[in-house]
Amino acid sequence: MRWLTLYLRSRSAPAALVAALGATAALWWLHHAIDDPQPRPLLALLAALAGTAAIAPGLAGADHDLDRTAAIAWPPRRAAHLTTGAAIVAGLLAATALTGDPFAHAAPIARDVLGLGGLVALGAAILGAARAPLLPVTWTLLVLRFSPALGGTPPTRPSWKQALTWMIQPAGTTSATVAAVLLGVAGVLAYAVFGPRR
Amino acid sequence: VLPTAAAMAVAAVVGYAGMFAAGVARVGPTASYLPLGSLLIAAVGALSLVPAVWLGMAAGSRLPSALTPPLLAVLGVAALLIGPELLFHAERYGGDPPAALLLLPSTGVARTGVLAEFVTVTGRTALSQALWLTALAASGLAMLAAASRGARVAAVLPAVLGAAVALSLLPGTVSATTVFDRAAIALVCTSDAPEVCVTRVHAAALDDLRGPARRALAILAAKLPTPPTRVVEDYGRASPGQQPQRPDTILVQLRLSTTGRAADPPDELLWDLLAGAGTRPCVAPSEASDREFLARAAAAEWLLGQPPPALAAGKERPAHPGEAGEALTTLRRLPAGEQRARVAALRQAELACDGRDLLDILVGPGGHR
Repeated sequence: MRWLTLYLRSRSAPAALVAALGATAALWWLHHAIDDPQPRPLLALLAALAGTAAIAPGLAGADHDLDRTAAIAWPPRRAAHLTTGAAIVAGLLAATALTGDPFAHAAPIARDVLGLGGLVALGAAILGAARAPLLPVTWTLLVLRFSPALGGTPPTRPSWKQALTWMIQPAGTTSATVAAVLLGVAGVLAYAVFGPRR
Repeated sequence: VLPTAAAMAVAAVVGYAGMFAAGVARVGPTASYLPLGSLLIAAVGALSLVPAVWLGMAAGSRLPSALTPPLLAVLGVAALLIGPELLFHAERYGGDPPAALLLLPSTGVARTGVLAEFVTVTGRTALSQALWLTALAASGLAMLAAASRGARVAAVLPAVLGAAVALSLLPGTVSATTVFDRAAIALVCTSDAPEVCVTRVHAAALDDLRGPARRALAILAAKLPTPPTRVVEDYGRASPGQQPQRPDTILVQLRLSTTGRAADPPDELLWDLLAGAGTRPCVAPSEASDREFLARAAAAEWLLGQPPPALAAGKERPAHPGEAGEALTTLRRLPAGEQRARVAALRQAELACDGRDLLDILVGPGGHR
């Protein structure tokens, strides 16, 4: 237990939790304040994006070399850190159902958190933990203009275009779900095996 | 602080200019009109990135954390998306929100008003936006450089001042911030008769319109008294319909493809030209009743002598083919002279926008009087 407490503190987990909580609350408030139903799915996506981005800084310790000297098996611990973080974010988003005005159904929340969490992990492995959110944030903001909430139409074919715009596709779109699952699995594997880039 | 801030601002502006250049290269081959005013609008757009960059840098320097950039980006997008909606809920303002909306980064403005390619932003609007953005940039820079609490509070002053000046310069509503660009809607016509004209911004589509337009004029000349003699592109109005039109001209709206040519095939254009016997609908398509639509379609089919072409992609026709056929059958049972008179009467009614029921005129029992 002591190990866990020290680990969480060294990875500034409390700050990440507060940030995720604050961003979710702020976006939910916006979601709740507007009458227009059109931008609502987008706010759920943005909340998933903010929540998963909050995981990123904790994916690396303050001292890369010090972490390497520890004679422990890092891969399962890294995978556990990542999946726990994603689960907490998904739980936060799903918990908005308790207010009677949920962000979205469980399926789109699960898809978005899975895919974006995978991207954060990939970002940590490729760019380093501090820059990890660049990957999901850039990708999401680039495809946002195809979102119906911004007057666009998500591509319906071919499936690679659907996969490229997976986060704004309607829930249940097969290629979008496949893309999110692939990103999630690739992210967990890459981060668990290679760890954060220094 | 200053060199870094300047470098970031220059990088953002260069990026914006790069996007603009890519857009120019893409439309260049088919574009026929590049007014200086559009460069001014793009310049204001480029300027808008400077306060964005500097305010972001100021936020980063106040909250130096790895979490600041992504959370700021996400919350910024959310605010951009929802903010205008919350502040200027469109319905509360009858679809025409206050022009102050233009001082916020918002995507909602593009949805109001007429077709964007025919209008331009007034100089006053561009000026007030530029003033506001400059003041906001000054605030951002001051906030970034401020060392003490007092300096940070003072840094807000330019933005407040800029907002006050910009708001006093802006007109009351968003619709008043744009005007028709006279040069953009100037007509480009064929040199030989019968005359076919398109707006200057759509000049590349003239070749596509010429053939169907002349066929439509020939058909109308063969079948109706006092036929029109020219075809002119209709550039749309803020509130469609209700205005009488000249009997010697067919007004037609063009849909353009991404290459600047007409998006519809010739037979579809011909059908559009002949709908309502060569008249523009008096009522906006969204408000038109089925009866108006049926009458206009039946008149076109009577003139053309064949049913409408298969629907082109992205185009909608209310689906009552059977009823249009019914009206047409009724019409064709009348004596030939009466048929002609009825279609001509429908044409007159649509030209004058006198509000009479088109289907009654065409096939009603009372005759066309």
